[in-house]
Amino acid sequence: MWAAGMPEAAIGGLTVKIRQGGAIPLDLAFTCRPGELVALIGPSGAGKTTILRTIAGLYRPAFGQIICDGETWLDTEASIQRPPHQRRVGLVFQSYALFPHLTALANVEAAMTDRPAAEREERARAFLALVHLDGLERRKPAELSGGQQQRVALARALAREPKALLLDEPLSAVDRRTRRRLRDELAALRSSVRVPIVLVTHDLDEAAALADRLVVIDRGELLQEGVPADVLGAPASDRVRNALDLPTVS
Amino acid sequence: MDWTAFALSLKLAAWTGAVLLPIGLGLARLLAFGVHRGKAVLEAVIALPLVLPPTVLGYYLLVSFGGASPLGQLWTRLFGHGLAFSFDGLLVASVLVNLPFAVQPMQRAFEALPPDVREAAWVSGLTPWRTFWRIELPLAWPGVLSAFVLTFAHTMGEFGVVLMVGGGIPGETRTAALAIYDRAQAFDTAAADAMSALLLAFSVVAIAIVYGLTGHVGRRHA
Repeated sequence: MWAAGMPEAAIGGLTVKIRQGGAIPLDLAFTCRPGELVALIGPSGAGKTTILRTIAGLYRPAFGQIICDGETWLDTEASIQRPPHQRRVGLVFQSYALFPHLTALANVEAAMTDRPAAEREERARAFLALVHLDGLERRKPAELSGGQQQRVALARALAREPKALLLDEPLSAVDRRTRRRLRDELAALRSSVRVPIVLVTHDLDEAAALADRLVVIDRGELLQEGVPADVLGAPASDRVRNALDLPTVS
Repeated sequence: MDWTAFALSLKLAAWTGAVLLPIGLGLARLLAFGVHRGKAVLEAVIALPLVLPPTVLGYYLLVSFGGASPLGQLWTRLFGHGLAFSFDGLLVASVLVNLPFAVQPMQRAFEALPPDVREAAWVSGLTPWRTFWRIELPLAWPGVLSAFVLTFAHTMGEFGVVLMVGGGIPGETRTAALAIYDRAQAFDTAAADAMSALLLAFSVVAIAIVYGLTGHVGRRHA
């Protein structure tokens, strides 16, 4: 049923297999090891966000299997589908999707549903300090800049103590200077987060700077995967060049 | 001034609001998030009391409440008295008449929530039930309160349905609106004046609250 030669589920890692036709065609499979950062890269409308939403449980494809840290989150053939709140997943939305009526601190505390209430505030402060937001704990999202909201969203995703961290175009909505700083911080953060990280982006520089491995996607189809230097050095086809917005061979 | 009638109207309005709050929340969420097929039909049915002549609605309710109807018989067996010409019957009628006033503001409030905020709550580990209490309701409360105030105020002034179903029995089903009609018919303009002024004040306050809340919603999402 799945493409031959699929790598087996890495122990403690994330395995994703999705296939469907229709309006959002998807046909791909990839894995992500603990501590590894895989960048899904491709043009807008390639289906990248839908893949993240499938992993998080917000979208149900026609056929799919998601295994994370040995737990089956989705297996359409076995009729297994865990709802989002039963998947330990940290998702940073492109729009951040902060809770507008809660302070930065309460936004982060909200993701600690299974921690004792007494621990939450201190831990939430620590997560906000990790993303350099100490002192802004009592601000509401509307009182924070775009970059600061992005950090709250990241702190909230980490506070979930996720088994997989998903980042949907995390740097697209901030200005260039903030983007560079956030990118450096994200790179530094990786050493303290030992879970699979999947980053969705259409920005080749961002992907090359952050990712251990690139997965090039176009119209829901996996075109090429490999370490950034290999993919950029030897794009497999003109379609890959197009998807990456590289000059095509004439 | 018929204080008994006024108190009865207040009691009916409070009960109608209390019964419609959970029903309205359920229907509003269903329409905002749940159903896609049949949504238009459900919305139309809920909106029907807005355009149906109150006497027509009241007539059908009276027929279905009667001792010969299955509903009337069931009610009599359960509670020992019929639905027609009783406070209970008035309440059932009032709940039906007020469905659009309760459901529509709440539905609009839920529909105004950014969809990814609910999804972020689920992904953060909140169950759908906790998401409702911690995220949806705190963000949608102006719409919910608007719905309650509109329902309350509308019940205070309801006339046609109340007259058909309740019959205007003093102390049991004669509400303030019916009492005003009675007093006006009897050329007791002093009592009619006083009660009308009171209901007018009630309506003005209700509308002020609703519009104040609507402005509040606009600012929150700005």
